[in-house]
Amino acid sequence: MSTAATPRTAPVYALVGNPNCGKSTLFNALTGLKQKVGNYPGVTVERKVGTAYTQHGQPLTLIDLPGAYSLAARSPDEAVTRDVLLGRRADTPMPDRIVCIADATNLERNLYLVHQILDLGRPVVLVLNMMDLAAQAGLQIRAARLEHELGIPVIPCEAANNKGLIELKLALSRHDLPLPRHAWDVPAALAPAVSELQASLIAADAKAPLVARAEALLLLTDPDPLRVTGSTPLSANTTRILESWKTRWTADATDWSGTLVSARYDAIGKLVAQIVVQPEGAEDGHAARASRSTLELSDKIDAVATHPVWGWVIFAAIMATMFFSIFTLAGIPMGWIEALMAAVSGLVDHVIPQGAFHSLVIDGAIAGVEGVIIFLPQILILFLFIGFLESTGYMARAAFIMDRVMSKVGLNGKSFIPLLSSYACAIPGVMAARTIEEPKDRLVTILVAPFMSCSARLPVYLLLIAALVSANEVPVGTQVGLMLLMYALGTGGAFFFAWLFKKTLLRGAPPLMIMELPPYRLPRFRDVLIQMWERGFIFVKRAGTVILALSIVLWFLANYPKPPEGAAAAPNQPIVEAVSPGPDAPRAEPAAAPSAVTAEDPLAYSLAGRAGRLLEPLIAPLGFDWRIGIGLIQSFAAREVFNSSMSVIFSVQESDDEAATRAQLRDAIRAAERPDGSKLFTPLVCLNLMIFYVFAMQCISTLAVVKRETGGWKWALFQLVYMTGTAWLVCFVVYQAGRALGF
Amino acid sequence: MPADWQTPAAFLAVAFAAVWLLVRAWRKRVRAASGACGSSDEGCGCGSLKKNLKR
Repeated sequence: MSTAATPRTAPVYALVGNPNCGKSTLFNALTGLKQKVGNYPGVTVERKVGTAYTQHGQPLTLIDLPGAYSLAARSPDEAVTRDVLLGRRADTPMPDRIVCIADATNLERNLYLVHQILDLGRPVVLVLNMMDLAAQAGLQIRAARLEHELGIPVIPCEAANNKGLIELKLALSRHDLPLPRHAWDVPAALAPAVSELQASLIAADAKAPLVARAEALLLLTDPDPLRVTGSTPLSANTTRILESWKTRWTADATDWSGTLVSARYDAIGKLVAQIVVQPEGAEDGHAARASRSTLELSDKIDAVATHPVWGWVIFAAIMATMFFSIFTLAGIPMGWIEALMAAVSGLVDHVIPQGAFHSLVIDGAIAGVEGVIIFLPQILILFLFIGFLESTGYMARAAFIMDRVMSKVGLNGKSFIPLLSSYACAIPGVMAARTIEEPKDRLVTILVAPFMSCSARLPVYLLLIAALVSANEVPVGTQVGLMLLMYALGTGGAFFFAWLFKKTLLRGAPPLMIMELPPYRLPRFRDVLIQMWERGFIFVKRAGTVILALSIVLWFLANYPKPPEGAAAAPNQPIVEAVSPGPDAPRAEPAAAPSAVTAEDPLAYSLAGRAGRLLEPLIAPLGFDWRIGIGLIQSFAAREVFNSSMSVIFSVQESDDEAATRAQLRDAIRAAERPDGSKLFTPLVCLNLMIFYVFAMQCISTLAVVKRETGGWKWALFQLVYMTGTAWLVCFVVYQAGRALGF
Repeated sequence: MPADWQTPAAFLAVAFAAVWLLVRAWRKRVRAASGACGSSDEGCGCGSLKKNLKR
């Protein structure tokens, strides 16, 4: 038996397997990290690196790779897995050893990838995960027999319950890890082609013999060689050999790809027949599947959850429940946060005497941070719901029922997972588009994903809804309805533009959706709470860092320069006059913009005020004045900064009276007036502002990720222009129509 | 303590915040260019991974 010695430095292990087989759960269990996990395929789309320690304290570097069904990659996330395993990634070391994870409840399909990896001739440890679910389904798996057949360590495991981890760590720390004893019969018709391609890959492409053979087999597995080669082109000689064989097989009608895939499945089928004992009464795979109680239950639930009518009713009910909870459950913890901020503010007010620094701390830092942090409870509730939906497996069903709508706009349900992820944040949503095979569909998905209302928009909606309607005056259902309307608008916008792009810029036939529906599982509370905690921590961290810094900078911009001495004594004198160079200079006419700014208004005289006024001609037709303009500019750093901007601009003062404090920002917004004395935040303006936030592209981080995912600035800038242009156009129509109708 | 210590203190705080924001933006740009996630804020796990690797 040949063995592979442990490398002297910390060995690098790659974790690979089919999507949704529990790789990230195992990765988290081994490293102690908190990678996102979920009960649907495509959660991990990029490699993740962590360190684990063996029972003897030896460090191991683990790379968690995106799930793949085959090494002939069909989508960018699968390409990451293929390239890391074949040592093609400059930024990732070639793994010394490979840990294959297989879902024990579906071994036949999972072993296909394992079989391809064994071809590489590298040291492999096979983990049979979800053994508890396999046992529940009545399956008996002879792990020792499998170990004997493959010649590699096979570890039964329940990663979710931390079972089998010690055995796995012992296997990972073995110095004498055996190389696979892997032999299978390549069909005779293809064997000469495999040998010829292998020889060429060794000679012309400088591959190791076993890797060359594995790549030769992959090249003959998929009709598109790009799925194997990726961005590392084949040599001219290898390409010539491949094409020559393909021409020959086409001439004699040999289904070369199908033959090879069938031969591999035949070998796997024989192996599975030896190691898997089906439940009694199950004569074949289909009967076995039918006998699995978990799947039976899943099927029963799916009959309703994916029903053409009831599926939509359930989806709408879940969304409504989520927003209802956001509005009703958050009140008490919001009161605690307000009390805390009021106490901090009161303390600072007591300790620091009146002056510039006092103003910076109270009106800048505290007001700015409170405007955002107050919505932490809502964020936590949102992620609690998202976590439950992901953990139970409902997300995949949502994608399934959405497929009917998606196909009408030229996409398939697979695009809906990135769109659903974008409800949390557009960045993981854009990255999740890597699971989409067709490049044009992937690009369309990336272009429309930021329309989905992310969690950063939530505080803005909540503030504006509070300003628009009072919870005391209207039933909570009205607020929930407004919130649902904003989410529906974003989703509708995404669908509309997906349809438009597929009809014009990025034409292509709607692809068929092939997606695995995982069985329903009870939510893992620990994972849900960890995800909720992580998101809450990120939210608080942002408030305490970026938003704090931006609030401080905005305080300065909103307070400096100060109006000249005596300007305040000349009410309603246009600012341009107050700073005019001399008595001979021609008198400037008052600004033609809707708001005539006067020198008595220090905010208008400040740098922020001037920037807002520069923007005002552009946004005045939407009903927004220069103060809202300041908030819009700042929102490009982070959308929720709008709340901080409003807090700083309206110089919200803290008070010890909790009830008064709670209402202050909302009331300040409600009380804000234009120079002519009319209300600034009319219901129409509040609604229009929310619509602007639905459609506008106001996130620099998302733009940076879009640039990276699309390989340049072209599409990122296009996205910025078309989304913000759409926001302006829609708001213009709504405001002008609203005005014409007398609102 | 000078009579008007508050204005210089406030300006110092503003300068610190502005520089911090600029450095952060630059570091994010470098991260994005290097092929890493591009943002450690959005739950991609970069932050915790980095901490783990340092340990």
